[in-house]
Amino acid sequence: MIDPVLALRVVRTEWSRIVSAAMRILHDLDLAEDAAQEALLVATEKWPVDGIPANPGAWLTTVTRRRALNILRGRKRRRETALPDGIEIANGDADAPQDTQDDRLTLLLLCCHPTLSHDSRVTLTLRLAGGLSTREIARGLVIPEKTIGQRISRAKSRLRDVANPFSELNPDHLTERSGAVMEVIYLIFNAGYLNDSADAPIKRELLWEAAMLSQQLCEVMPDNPEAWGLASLIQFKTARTGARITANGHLVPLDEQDRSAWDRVAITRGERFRTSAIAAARRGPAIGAYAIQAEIEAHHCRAETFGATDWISVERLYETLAELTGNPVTELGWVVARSYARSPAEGLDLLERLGTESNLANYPHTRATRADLLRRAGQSQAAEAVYAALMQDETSQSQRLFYQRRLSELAGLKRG
Amino acid sequence: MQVVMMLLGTHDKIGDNAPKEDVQKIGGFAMKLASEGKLKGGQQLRGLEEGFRVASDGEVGRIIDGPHAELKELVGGYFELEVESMEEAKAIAAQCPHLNTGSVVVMPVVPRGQG
Repeated sequence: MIDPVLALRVVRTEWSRIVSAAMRILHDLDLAEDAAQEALLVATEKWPVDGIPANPGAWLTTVTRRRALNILRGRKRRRETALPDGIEIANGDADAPQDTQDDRLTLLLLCCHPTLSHDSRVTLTLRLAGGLSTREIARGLVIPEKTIGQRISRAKSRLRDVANPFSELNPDHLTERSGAVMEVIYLIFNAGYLNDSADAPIKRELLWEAAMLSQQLCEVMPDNPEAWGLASLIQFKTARTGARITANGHLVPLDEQDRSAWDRVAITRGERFRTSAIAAARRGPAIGAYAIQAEIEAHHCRAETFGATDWISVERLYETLAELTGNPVTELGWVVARSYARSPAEGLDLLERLGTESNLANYPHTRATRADLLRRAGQSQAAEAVYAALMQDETSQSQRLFYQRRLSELAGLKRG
Repeated sequence: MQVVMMLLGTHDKIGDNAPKEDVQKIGGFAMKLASEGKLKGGQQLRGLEEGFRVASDGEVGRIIDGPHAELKELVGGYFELEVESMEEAKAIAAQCPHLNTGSVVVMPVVPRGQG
C-alpha cells in the first residue's frame, strides 16, 4: 500500500507551487485553492494505483493547471464575472510546455502582505503555502477551528481588495517584504517548538512546515543570507527537540540533554545551510539576526558536552545580536551566555544593567533566568523566593514540573 | 483525541492475499484522511504466513505452525487517527473501503502518562 503520510508530505512540499500556478491562471485565492484541492483529489485516486510520480511537483502542477483552466472556461461560459485584464485562455492544454515561472515567492509575499495582521499572515501561510487544513492549523496554534476559518476568509477578502493581488514584484519592496515572510516562518516554527499542549504530533508538523517553507525561501532567494540563516537555525533547533521534552512532558534544560539523541541528519543540514548563508553574505547583503542565531545554535550543536561549549564566542554573538535587535529574548540569551562565559554573578550584573535600560524586566522568562542565576551563584534563599513566585503564576504544566524540581533541589541543599 | 482503527479480515483477505483493488482504495482513503489532518500514522501488515503465532496455553511460548483456521479475524492493518469525538470516528469508520472485505474496529488510545 502507498504510504499515505509520506504521500501527503510530498503533496504539501509542492502545495505552494501548485496554488501559485493556479493563482497565475485564476487570480483568485479561493478558486486557486479549489483547483489545488481538486488536484489533490486526483492524486488520492491515482497515486495508490500508480505510485507516487517521479516528479510529483510537475505532476501536480499539470493537473492543477488543467483544473484551473477548466474553472476559467466555466466562468467565461457562464459570464459570471469578467476575466481579469490580460488573461487569455490558451488553446493548448496543460500538458503543453508551460513557462516554468516559479511563483512560490509571489504567493508567500501575498500571504505576508503588509495589510494583514501577523496572526492572519501566519494562518494564511500555513493554509496556502503549507497546505494545512483548518483543523490542523487550529490544533497547531491552539486556537478554535472556527476562529481560524474566519481568519482565513477575512484575510482572503482583504487581499481581494488590494489591487491586483498577484502582480509582479517590485524589487524595492522585496527585501522588506521577504523579512515579513521570514518572520512568519519563524512564528510558525516557534508555535511548534514552544507549544506545550500534549498534542506532540502536531507540534512536529509545524516544525516540519517551518523547515519546508524556509527551504523554499532559500530556493527562491538564494542570494539572501538571512533566508539561509533562518533555514539553518530551524534545522539546528529541530535537531534537539527529541531530547528537549521527556515522554511525560518534562522540559529538559540544555545542560541535561542527552546529546546523543540529537538528530545528526538535521545538524548536518543546518551546517550546510549555514555555509550557504556565509557564501551569500560574501556576495551581497550582510548577515543579520537569523544568520547570527544560526551561528549560536551551531556552537551548541557542535559541543560534545555542555561544558565544552565555546561560551566566549556564544557570548560575543549574543552581544552583537542584542545590539542589532534590542529584543528581550536576545538580551536574556546574552545574560545566560555571559554567566557561563564568565560567572553567574557577572550574568546577574548584566541582567540588572539591561533590566533598567530596556523592557527586559517585563519579559516573563526574565524571572526564571534570574532564579537560575541566583541558584548557580549560590544564593539559594533568593532563588527559592523567585521559584516560589514563578510557581504561583505559571500555567504551563511542563514549566511547573521544572520549577517544582528546582525547589526540591534547593530544599535538599538546605537540609544537606 | 486519538483512536486506532483496526482493519480485520479472515486469513485469505489480509496481507498479501488482500484484493489489490481494495488495497488501492484504502490507500486513497488514507491519503484523503491525511489531507484533512486526521491521519497520524498506520500501516498495512503482512499476513500470518510471514508472521507467527505463539501458544499461550499448554506449551506456553511454543510457535504454532498452523493451522490458523480457528482464528476468525486477524488485523490486516491499522490507522492512527486524530478525531474530535467518537462520533467523528464512527463516521470515518463507516466510510472505510475495507468494509467490502472485512470489518473495522475503533478504540480510543490511552493518552501518554495516563496509562
